Amino acid sequence: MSAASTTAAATVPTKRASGFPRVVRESSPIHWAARSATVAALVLIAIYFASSAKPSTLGNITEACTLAIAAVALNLLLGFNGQISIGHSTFAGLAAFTAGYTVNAWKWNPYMSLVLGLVLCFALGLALGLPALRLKGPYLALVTLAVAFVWPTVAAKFLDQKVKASTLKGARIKPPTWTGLTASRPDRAVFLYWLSIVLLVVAYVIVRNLRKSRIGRSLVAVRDNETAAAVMGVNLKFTKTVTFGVSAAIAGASGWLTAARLTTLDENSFTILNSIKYLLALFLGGAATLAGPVVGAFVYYFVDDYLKTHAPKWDWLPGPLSQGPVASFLLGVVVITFVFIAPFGLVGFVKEQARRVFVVSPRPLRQAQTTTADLESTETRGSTTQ
Amino acid sequence: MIRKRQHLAAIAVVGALALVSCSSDSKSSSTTAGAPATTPATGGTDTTTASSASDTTTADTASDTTTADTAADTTTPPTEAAPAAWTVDTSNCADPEAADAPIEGTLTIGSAQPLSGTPAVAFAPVKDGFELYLKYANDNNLLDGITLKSDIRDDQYDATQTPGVVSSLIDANVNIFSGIIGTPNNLAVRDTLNEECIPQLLNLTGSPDWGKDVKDYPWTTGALVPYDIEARIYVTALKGLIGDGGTVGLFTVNNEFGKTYVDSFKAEAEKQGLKVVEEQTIEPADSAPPTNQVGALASAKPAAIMAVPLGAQCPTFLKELKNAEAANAGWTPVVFQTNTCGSRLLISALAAGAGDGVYTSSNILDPSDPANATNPGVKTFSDAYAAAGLKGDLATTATGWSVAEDTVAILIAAQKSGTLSRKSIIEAARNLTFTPSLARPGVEYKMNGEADGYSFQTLQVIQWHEATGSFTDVGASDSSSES
Repeated sequence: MSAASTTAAATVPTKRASGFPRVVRESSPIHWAARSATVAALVLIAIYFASSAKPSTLGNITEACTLAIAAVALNLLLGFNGQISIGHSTFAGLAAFTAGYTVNAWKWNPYMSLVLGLVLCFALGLALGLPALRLKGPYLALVTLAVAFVWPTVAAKFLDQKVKASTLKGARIKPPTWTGLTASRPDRAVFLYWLSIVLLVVAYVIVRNLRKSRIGRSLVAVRDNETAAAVMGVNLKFTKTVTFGVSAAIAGASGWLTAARLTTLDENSFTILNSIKYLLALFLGGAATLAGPVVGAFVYYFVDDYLKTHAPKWDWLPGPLSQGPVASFLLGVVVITFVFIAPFGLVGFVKEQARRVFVVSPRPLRQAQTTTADLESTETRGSTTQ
Repeated sequence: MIRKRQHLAAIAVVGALALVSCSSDSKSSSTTAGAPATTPATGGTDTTTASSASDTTTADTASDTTTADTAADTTTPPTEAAPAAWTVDTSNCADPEAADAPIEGTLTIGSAQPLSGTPAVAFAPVKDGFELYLKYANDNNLLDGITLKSDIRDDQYDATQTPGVVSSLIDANVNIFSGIIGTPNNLAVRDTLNEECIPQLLNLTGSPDWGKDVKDYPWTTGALVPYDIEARIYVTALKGLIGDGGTVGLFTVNNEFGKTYVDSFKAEAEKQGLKVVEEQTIEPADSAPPTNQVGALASAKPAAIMAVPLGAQCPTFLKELKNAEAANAGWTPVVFQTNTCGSRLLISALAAGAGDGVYTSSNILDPSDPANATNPGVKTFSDAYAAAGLKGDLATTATGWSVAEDTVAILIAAQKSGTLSRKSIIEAARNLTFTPSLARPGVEYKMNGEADGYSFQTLQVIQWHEATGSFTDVGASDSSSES
């Protein structure tokens, strides 16, 4: 899918008589200005919410960011590397339980628990990446599905034997004194809001830089054609297992953030449902696009939230819908509609529409050669600009 | 190629949706953890005694107002001597002034309950019943100068969503919380509500946690009889039915709800000379019929089975057990199910006759039983239910009604203490004794500060009869845990 979209993005449509679409050269001043304006707008919006939104609204954004981090993690694995995982809730759960346990039982600093959680998730991801060397598609999905199903039982045993309780207290991070924030509910909401944004940005930048690097091109090559990638010199074992590990570690950051936000965790805090949500967020926004999982997570979260809040009050709904669990049904309708309207995800849809107005043409190959050491790029960019 | 990928993506998402749907179904069973399927005895009116922190004299509360136009046999509330009043310290609250501030005009009660997703099918009537009683209270001016409002929002019975829901309700300036459904859901917000010093009244779960940590969590109370007490009552009843040394098989859900039961049941069984010969568990999210587990129980052939499943797992267990009995001629164990499985919906309508003869428990009159139709409390509820044109499960609706009735009784007691504030409300809740209008004989709401942190501790063992479509009492009600 991503190859298709990459090809589409790189293909410069013929100009119509109206002068559209306009062609904007990649990395040109206009392109940089547009990008800078986008980033500045996002920063301003973030500051606006931090200064004016209610704690519950900030909490909602924090939850959306948490979902977005997990979707970004899954995008690296599934969108760019073609390895499907339905078990990413396990990594989130592992990091969350690591945080909850180390902070409460061992009195660790919560940020230390994040490091340990990421290391454990990376290691588990590597281990899970091993079967991925031999399994593909639905078979790999089944393996990760099993992991997702096993996690609640493992968590329950852990609670039973190590915690001696049915729930594990969360990490419940308090704002550091240097922030000037107190431990009150509003201040804590502000702190967690910024923390979640920082983690999301870090996750995004990691995936973006990986994608733009030689490793990223290896990921895409493996996804599109393993045999060809191997022939081209891509180390399949290294690429697939490390990608699984990095993706698992990023998903772990999402779990750690959940532990930082919640007061209690139990075996049902990270079930396969969470994995399904990650997948939905990813496909809603657009797999194999950098912004897709973030957009998808926010859309999914706030549509779901809106329907849960308002749908039960909609007496005008016909028949059984007016009395039953209508929000879930409507969410399903919305998601299916999105999928049919925008099969490449919302980002793909917007890009497609935007291409009617302007297109970003890649840098000429000669320029790319001078700025990129890797001349063995398998990107479609090269072929389309030659 | 592009088209193919489009199709693959669409198929993947539709498949994911199907999985969500399936998981949601199974989650429904998990989400019933600790939630009531039967109605707790609640909200009292005809006999009420309360003392507030500031005024230790007995305060007649809801009785004289709420029953005036409803209960034909209303009697003057007894002036039972109130225990030494328990008070709450607000100095450590996030906003001590807000905790002491008088509530005037409108009092908003917040709650988080499953209103969407599969659990909503079973629990949505709780909201209807809750709102119905508040309307009744407003129509009858039960609280002097105060209009009651509710703001019940959806957490889909997902404990990770409850904090967000509660946070939004706090931002919406609700004054108190009442009737949040689910043990993990209540645990997830207990710290926040105690830090904020907002009453978290009448949690609709029977976790023993709600009564044992009064000092650490003074702002949190429960509405159901604690599960450990319920388990003890079943062991006692079982011993009477299968005799000393009788064998028991356990079928429990593998979560806090089930674990509490198992631990309490096994300890009590050992004490009373019953032998647990087989233990089987089911995961909270498992919605498939428990064929293997029931098969294992059938192999051990215990004389009795104690079942603690969740929600939709209750009827599937009963149906599976019927199959096992048919396949093992001569084996007809005595079956006890937790009272969260005790609604007509779960024991009869969905069990397709497999619930016949099953024992469970209750501390509230069954509003569906014609024999109770003339009871004033039941009549008031039934009339209001009919007038509102509600169609949800009667017993589950009565749960909401009862919790609201309890809540209002507490508010009236707080108001009578002088100032209606968050502080006086939680103090009234923990210093209150009254008899609920729908309660079975001998059941009363009674809390006494740190000395007694549980609102209800009396249960009546009952047995379901499919032929007559009714429950019958088994022995006398057990109030031995009441302090």
